[in-house]
Amino acid sequence: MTTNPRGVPLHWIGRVCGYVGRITFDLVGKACVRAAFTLRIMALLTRRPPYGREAVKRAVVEQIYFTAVQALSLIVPLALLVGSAMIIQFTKLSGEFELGKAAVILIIREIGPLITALVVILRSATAVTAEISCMTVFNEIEALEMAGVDPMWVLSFSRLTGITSAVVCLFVVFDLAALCGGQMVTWVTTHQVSGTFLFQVARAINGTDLVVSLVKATLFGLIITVVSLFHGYTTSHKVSRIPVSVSNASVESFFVCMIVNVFVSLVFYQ
Amino acid sequence: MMPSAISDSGDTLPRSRPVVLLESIGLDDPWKRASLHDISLSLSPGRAFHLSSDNPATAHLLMRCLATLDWPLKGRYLFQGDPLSFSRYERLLATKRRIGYLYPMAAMVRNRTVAENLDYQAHYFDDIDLEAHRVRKEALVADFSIEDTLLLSPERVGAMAQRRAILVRELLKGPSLLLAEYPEEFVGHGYLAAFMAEVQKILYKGGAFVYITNFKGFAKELAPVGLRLEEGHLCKEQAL
Repeated sequence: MTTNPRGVPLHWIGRVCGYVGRITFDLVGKACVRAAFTLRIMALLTRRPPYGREAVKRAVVEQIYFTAVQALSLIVPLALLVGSAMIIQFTKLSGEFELGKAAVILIIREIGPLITALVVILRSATAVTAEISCMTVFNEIEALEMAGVDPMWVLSFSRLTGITSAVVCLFVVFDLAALCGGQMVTWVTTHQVSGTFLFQVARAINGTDLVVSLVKATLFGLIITVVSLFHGYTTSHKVSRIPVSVSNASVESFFVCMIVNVFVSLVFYQ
Repeated sequence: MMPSAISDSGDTLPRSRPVVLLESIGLDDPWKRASLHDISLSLSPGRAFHLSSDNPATAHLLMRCLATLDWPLKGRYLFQGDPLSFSRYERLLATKRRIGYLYPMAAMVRNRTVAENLDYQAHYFDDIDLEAHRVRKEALVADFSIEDTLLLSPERVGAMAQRRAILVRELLKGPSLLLAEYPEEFVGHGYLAAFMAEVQKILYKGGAFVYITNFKGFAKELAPVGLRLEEGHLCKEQAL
């Protein structure tokens, strides 16, 4: 057996290096493919559809309806519950002081965008991935192409704009509902005068909080759409791959949203 | 004698220019382990072509290449005299609009009704005369007896009716090139005459028809040129 001067078998070093190299190349390749796909979709935002503007417009409105309007019945009670729970815990911790500041830090800066993203991933990202995967597997995308229709406009652009704007709108609704929940809880469980909580929130919040939260919501919307579409379009031509794509898309969306959330918080608040 | 080709507006098209000209095309389908080598082919206007092969996957690959769904790795593809660029799929969409393609896995968009599927292209593009489209659609829908399916989603339509609906959708394009893999499975014997009449119209207008079939009746009516693929090479081109 060939060895180095210390006696470590060289072929084991070679195998480990090869394994690490393959993994690295694989990861870099996947990242490049995703980046190219993202650029391709984002490039649509800089152009106008050459044909079928009515069809594209209709698809965008449908997507906003499915993602935003139909999710309201879920996001409002969820926000009330989350807002109430947060304030209950923080009341015990802080002795009723700085409740407004806590609400801004916890709900508006961090929890609001993340829970909104989670709801959209659970409801819409899974649906979009399943739909596009089915269309890929059952040759419906080819059918659109053979009609001369660009699937990137009628499928991708509509979902990108629809879901991203829906996430931003849902985030605003979530924050308002969560603050209302917090207000109700402070009114019922603390000795604070009615309206004190909202006054504290108004004092604690600043322009950066609003901008950062909206930036996060927008980025989350873009990430969720791009990841869902990517997994949908790249589903190999097997029905059994559809649930795998849906699962991968939802996990990857949430994971990337968490990373971006930390990164944006670091950039603006560190 | 073959009638002179006419365009939709009734103008005569130049007969000399082939609908499709392939020059030394080569491509691979690693999934099905099929490949084409150095295919040179000219599809003359007004002619039908019967494609046969020692390997069905190779014939399917050539049909997909003609439909611009699979891209050649080398060689040139000219559609009605214009060389096609296979660098971006968007550039091929205008060509795809002029190609009708019937193949076993052809599908309709499931979240639209059959009627919406038939109208999708007409409503998507601004340059289609909607009234002429409506008249043509009604005639084809009647010819292929799919009136009852129009308001249903494709999943709720029987397999044969769905295939006839796909056929109607492709015919509504007014294709310059009609590709059909086993068209007898789309129309059955009941609608064969209607289908042949539509094919004759396409040929009369200067289009080309390429088909793969197990049914010998087509050869009698169309007097096709036989194309034979063997081991990925186009080895024979002769009148049948």
